[in-house]
Amino acid sequence: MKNLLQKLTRFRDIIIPFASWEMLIMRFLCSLLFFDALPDGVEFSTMPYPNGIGKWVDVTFLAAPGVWDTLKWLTIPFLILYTLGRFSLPALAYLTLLLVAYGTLRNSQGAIGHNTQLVALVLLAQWGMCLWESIRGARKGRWSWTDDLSRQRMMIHAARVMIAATYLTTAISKIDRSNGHWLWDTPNLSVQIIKTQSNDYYNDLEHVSPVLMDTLPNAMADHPWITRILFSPGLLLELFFFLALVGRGWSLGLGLAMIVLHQLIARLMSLEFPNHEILLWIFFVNVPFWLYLIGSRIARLGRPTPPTTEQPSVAGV
Amino acid sequence: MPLPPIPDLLRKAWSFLRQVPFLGVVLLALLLQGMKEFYPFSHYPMFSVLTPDVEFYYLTDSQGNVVPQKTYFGFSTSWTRKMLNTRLAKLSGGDNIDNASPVEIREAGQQTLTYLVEHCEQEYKDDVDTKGLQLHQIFIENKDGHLNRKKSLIAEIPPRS
Repeated sequence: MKNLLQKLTRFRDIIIPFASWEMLIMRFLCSLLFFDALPDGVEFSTMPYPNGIGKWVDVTFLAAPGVWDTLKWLTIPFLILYTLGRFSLPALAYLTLLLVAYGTLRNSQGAIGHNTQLVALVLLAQWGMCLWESIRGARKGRWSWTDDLSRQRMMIHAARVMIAATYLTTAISKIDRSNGHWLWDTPNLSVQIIKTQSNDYYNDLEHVSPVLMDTLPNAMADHPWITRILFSPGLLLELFFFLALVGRGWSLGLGLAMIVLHQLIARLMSLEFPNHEILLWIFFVNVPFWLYLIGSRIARLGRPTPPTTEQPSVAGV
Repeated sequence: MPLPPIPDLLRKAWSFLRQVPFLGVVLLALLLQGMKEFYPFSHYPMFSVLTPDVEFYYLTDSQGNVVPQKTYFGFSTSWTRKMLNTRLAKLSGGDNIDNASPVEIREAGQQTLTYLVEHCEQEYKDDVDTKGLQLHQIFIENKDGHLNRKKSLIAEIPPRS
């Protein structure tokens, strides 16, 4: 047992030493995603079924005339500060609270949606880590409103850990709530596909696919073992996605695999999670780094290049 | 054997916990499981139980013409199903809505229709008022590889005369 534990501990997540320009791009893209996640207006003025902090705090004030517009536009200076790594502590606190307040109001209508939770959790994780690192700095007599390289890396790491934990909890829910029968029950996805495709059709009477509403579900119900084999990789990917924290190569591979899984689910079941996919692109696939790497390798083929002042680490590649 | 003093015990527990690979992921996943649905926390229960039967809902006017729900009310059909189930759980006094009575189902359906009409897009309000609105359920069952369907009317708001 001890031996096994020692072997496992070698396989830990590492804090990837991202370069400051990489993290600047990540925070910039994250800011765009956050702003896009905020609606243009608030259509709910009551909370008939309070959820989350809505059980104690009335957040319907967001629907009052002019309030939402003001609060939404106030996010812009805070997003700029967060992107630049200055005053992240108050900036992230404001951004997180605003999204949590809106999400709470929306989820207090008696129907729980899951589109913006991960964005809010990623902000919350970064804010929590920023607070932790700020306090640690203050205890050493080094309080700073500017995020140094180390704090920036820890904040990005916190965001990545939160995303990985979300996928792990998704897998745990499937295993726990089905009493371990989830894979065995996958042929019943046939009726779920009919349901989601029908839902999609009845939304606007435009999208109808005879293959997805009839042919495929019948084939799945008719061939249960093939269905189980085809759907098992999805559950395994959710369960072991946290291995993406091991390094850059793992992040790229598992990040892309998870995006493919989201796309397959979107096509099969009309269930789209664009925010999740974008977060995977930003924090796991990290295209700018790979473009940089390819570019620098190509450049090096031609001539030897002197070391630059700051190069992103290729740890884990 | 006497118990070690608490600080020592805590230190040992922390040393043990630190051995757990991906400790942050594990702790956060457990936190998300424990918080259930508490925005922004979620344990993402969608499709975690794959029962052989499901139901979904659609809307028609009183003549039976299908009403495009999102276009008319801004809410998706899956949103309506969740709203109906939440109201049903409240009416039947628990999370297990499978044992809800037909009266409770009709009442939950009626409340859901009323909520939808209250949030109807301005340009369709007259249409809904004059033609009425009905909430229908389709029940599908996977029985030994065969998919059976059953339709039923859940609730309705009659046209304004």
